[in-house]
Amino acid sequence: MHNRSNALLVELLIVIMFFMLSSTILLEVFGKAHGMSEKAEAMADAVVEAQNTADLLYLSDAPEETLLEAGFAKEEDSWTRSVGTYLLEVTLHSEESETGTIYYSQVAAILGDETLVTLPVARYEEGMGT
Amino acid sequence: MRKKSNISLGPGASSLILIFVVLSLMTLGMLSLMTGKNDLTLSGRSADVVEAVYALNVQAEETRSRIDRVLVESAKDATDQEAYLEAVALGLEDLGEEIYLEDDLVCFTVSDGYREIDCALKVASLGDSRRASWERYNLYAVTEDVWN
Repeated sequence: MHNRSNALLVELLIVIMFFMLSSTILLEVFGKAHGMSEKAEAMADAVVEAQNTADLLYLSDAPEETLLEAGFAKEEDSWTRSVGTYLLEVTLHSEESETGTIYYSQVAAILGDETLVTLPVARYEEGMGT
Repeated sequence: MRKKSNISLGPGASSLILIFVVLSLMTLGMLSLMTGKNDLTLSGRSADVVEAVYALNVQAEETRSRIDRVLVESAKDATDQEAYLEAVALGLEDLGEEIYLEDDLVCFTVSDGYREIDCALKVASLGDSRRASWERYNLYAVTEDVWN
């Protein structure tokens, strides 16, 4: 009877140890899966937000005012807006020619150090053509 | 008097429960990992496709600016609409790309090999303040593998 109790105790100890070891590995697996899902969600959301911003810029005659209205803040050469876990960054520049101007914008969604999506936008505006 | 019930755990029972629990958790973990990975791949591909389409839009606008230069040059010496369109057709040939005039439409296609945008710019009448406007702007998938 005494031996049987000891065997049961040893078995339980082994079971608990093995369970703890497995839990450690499984927690890592679940953590990684959660991280991946979060990143996927952020990326899907970032694509939609970046598209919205890019389309606004394409249709806008005054990009800087449009960005201000959309909640962007100016930082040196770019415009930024924090959306959830990621950051939307917009850079604007234009190329003028004799016949018109191409207004270029670049909308990037950044999560930490990683760029999730970068959308280039261009809009040609006819000039006087002289 | 209530009878005491003795629940005894035989040797090996806890091991069996452990195996069952660990296997179940492992299956759930693998499923979660696979779902997360697939979601991430899908989001990444979706982002790539959107980026590619926007890059094509940029190409189309840049082509439009080159066409507009031709329109300006053609308008300089043209006396009437017919002469203007003739000059435009000649000017477009000089661009050296697959850009052609069809009636009063300047047609061209921008492509990245996987998808293309079929564009047409309507040339305005000579002397109008606006020289051209988009008439057609259609996106097509060139290959069946639209995820590239």
